[in-house]
Amino acid sequence: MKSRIITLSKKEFIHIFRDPRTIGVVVFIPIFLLFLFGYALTIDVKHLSTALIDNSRTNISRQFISKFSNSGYFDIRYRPENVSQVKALMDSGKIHLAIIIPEDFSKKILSGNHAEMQTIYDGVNSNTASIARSYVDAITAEFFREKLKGMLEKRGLDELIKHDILKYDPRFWFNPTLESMNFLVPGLICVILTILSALLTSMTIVSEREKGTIEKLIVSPVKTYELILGKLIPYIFIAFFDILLVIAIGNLWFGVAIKGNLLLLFALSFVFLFSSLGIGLIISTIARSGQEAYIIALLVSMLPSILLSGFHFPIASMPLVLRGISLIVPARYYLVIIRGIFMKGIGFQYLWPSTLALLIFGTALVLLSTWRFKRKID
Amino acid sequence: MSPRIIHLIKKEFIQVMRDPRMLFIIFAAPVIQLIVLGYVATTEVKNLSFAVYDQDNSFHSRQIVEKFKGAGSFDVRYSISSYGQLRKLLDAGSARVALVVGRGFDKKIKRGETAPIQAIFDGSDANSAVVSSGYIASIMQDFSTSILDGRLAKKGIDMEWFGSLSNKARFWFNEELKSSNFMVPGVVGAILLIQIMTLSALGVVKEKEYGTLEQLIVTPIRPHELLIGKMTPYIIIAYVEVIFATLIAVFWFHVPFRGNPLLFLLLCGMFLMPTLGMGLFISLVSRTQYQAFLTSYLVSLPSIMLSGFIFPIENMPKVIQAFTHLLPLRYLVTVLRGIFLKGIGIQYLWKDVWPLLILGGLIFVLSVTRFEKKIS
Repeated sequence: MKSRIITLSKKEFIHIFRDPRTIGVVVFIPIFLLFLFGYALTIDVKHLSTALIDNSRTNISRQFISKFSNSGYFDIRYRPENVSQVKALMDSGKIHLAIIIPEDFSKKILSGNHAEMQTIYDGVNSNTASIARSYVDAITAEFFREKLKGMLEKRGLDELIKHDILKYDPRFWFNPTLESMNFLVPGLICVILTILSALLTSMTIVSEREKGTIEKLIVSPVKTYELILGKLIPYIFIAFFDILLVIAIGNLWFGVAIKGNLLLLFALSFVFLFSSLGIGLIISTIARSGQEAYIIALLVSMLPSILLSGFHFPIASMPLVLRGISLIVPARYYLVIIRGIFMKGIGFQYLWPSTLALLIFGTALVLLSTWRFKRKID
Repeated sequence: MSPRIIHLIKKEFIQVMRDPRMLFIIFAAPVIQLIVLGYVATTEVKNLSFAVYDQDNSFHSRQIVEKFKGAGSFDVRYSISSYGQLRKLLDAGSARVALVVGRGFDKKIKRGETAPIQAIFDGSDANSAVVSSGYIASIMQDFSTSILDGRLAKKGIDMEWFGSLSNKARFWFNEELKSSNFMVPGVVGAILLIQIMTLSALGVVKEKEYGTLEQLIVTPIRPHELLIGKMTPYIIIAYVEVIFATLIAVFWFHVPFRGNPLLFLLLCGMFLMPTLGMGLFISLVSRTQYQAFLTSYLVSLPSIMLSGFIFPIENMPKVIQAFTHLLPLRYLVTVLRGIFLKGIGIQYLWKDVWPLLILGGLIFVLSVTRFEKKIS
């Protein structure tokens, strides 16, 4: 029986690697994603293209403006005359924001009145706009604090603010420099494993069933579980190859180190693969064609494991219903495990609840799919 | 149009319609994708699990803790009394942020010295950490201002005497700054690519696998007729999906639709050229559905990542920015956002429309001629 599984796996291996495309998916996509996230994909906001209307044209307004241009966040590229020119710039997507300083700006600041400036943002990218606004607000507040300090000094009240009132000292544990690769590398392992295990396995099984090659195997003395194992084992090997590949590039190129135990990482990755392959198997018993398998896998495996797992978007911020759904997304638990081991260096005493969840899902999924698989081919 | 084509299109339709489950899956998929993305895709941080380590336990320390309880972004869940406890909470992931108010906080504020305050973040989710650190900094700023206000009041000075400076911010095109307004129009484009390209490629390859394509080829049907017959159902599916997705965007997510609907449909159609062209091309180079899937995956993943749909193109390195000009989806995403949110017309969209036309036409013509050559 053992040798039958091995033979089947061998056959599957040959099958998989006969096609250079598989190598593309298995080797190229992980590397591509790593470098993409490492170099290209960032939501950092810097050098925003800015238009400026300075109606005040005084020393104070120029001081104020230089605070913006020296911050590194704003590149003042346009000096339109009026708001309708701002509108045209924004319609054509040339600027992210416009800063408008009114005529009476300096007079009001000097006389202790309420001065108001105006900023207009291209709100299409709401993330960029809200970050840009917070930068503007911070610069504005700092500028006014300096002015206030000057005014207090003039009145001899400077002992009130001789020292800053608070000193805010943020510390980022587990990732002191907030290097995004540190948390993207483990996240990417999770995404890549999901793609491999759920998408590839369901597609390969359904594709074979459509071609009728599975029937040929079924009439042979091979048992159902042998057939399934024979199909899955190569993918488990590929998955581990990808884990190693991502860890190696992450470490050697991007300098992402693993703080925890590598063996524990492998063991728990295996547990995750168990549940994730289970999803792939279930899909293959539901889908009748490659088209169906593709869409179902996209919906129940890819989409949740990227969007609902906490990979990019924090789970705590989601609406209640989606938070509930995220509880049945295996990637969510794996992400806790893999970030925990990578970044926090924590051990099994903190990771067992997530591991248990994965084990329960995995067992349920594999049992259910074996049962459905049997029923389907009988 | 010759009656042969009409018969062929009819046949293709009957084939698609005969499978109601497939139809359901085809139309349910974009709806679910749209709804999930619309709700999830925000970098805003809410309900962040928060721990407080108040070593001072004084008037001012309690005051600052109260400020955090009042802010919606934080869920003050733990009150702890040692760094050991803090470490455990962060290790276990039960708390994401901890505020540490050191001993002597109150005294320092009263003496006019700088009072340190520490916030410790779980940096393993760097995005949330950065965003919430910004929130905390602004709460600190408010607190400082209120302290200064109090000090001045003691001297009989009203802070208002010094005037103020405020920033009146307005957000054009997206007044309430909703992330769904940003994400949802982009999703429409991504869905078109993921669904239509892959479905059409898989569909044609499936017929190759079954041998039904050969059967059609030996009939007197001309190659271009066969092509039109095969592609028409996907064009219609694509349009139904686009309209579906747009209705959900407008009526469920209240994404404004400010532009011209006809222009919108026309430009989506233009995007279908490269999409179906790629689908055809993939079907040409694939023998099995599995291969077709792998190939379309290799094409669609980079396309989506680099299209500016989630990650702004202007933040990418120059080389990659240049490369994105080869991706039809890049232009469509800009066009979709322009029509939905900005309501701009062709005079502003033109710079994205002509590359889409040229690229799309090129990909389409190339694949179609190759396809025709292959089957004739």
